[in-house]
Amino acid sequence: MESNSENSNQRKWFVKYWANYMKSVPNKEWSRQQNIIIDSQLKSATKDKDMYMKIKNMMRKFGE
Amino acid sequence: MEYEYKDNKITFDKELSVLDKAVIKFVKILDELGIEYVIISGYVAILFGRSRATEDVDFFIEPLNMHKFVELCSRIEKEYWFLNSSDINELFSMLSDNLSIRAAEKGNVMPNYEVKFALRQHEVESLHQKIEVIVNGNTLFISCLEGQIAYKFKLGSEKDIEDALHLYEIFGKNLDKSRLLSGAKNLKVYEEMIENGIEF
Repeated sequence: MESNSENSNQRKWFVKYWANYMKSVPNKEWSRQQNIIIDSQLKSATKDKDMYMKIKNMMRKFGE
Repeated sequence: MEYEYKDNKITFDKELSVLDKAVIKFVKILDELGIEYVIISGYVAILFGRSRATEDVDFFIEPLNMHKFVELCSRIEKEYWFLNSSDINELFSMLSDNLSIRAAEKGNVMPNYEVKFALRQHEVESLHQKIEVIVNGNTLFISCLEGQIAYKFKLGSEKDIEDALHLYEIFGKNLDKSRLLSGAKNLKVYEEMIENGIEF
């Protein structure tokens, strides 16, 4: 099983990889790809205000 | 990333996301009412291309008196609802206690705008050291990048450190190294930043 530290290093590696990729292509291209992630999250977001605040308060209580 | 960083101003164009458009729309209300603000935290990294989504966008605004706050609420409530409470007095009391309030477009909870009065020293400094960003001709004010990077290390979650690394990778040569070092020392995150490859 992958350790937390290996996973964390891989994530950091990807952050650098992505930043370098962003430098190698026009803004229009990286932003098009980024928007797929952002727009899909908002599309599938909950609309239940009370449930959302309940979850946020719980997360805050347990230090997110 | 193609951008121009000059005189405390970053100018660039990109394909705007639904989130970008929503933030630009919300900020117009603050601009209309002449309320000073600064966007902090995750959205700053996302604005500049970080490959993740977020549900909330964090703002510090200048502390308002009750009269001005009522004016702000009246304007906000035309299109948005508050998630914490619908009672203006309660919302004002929360802000005065250095808590945040959240607003989202009516019928939605995401994205939401988490707003705090800038009351503490570091919040006031964020407001005063803001950077102007012109994205596709729209103006946004964000906190200074060096402070943002150090603060993200202070927060310390995986997500926050990755946001910091992203900003560092994108703006590396344009960052003020002495300001970065000062942030690292003030927030006591120097070692963590060195360990993660930040150079001063």
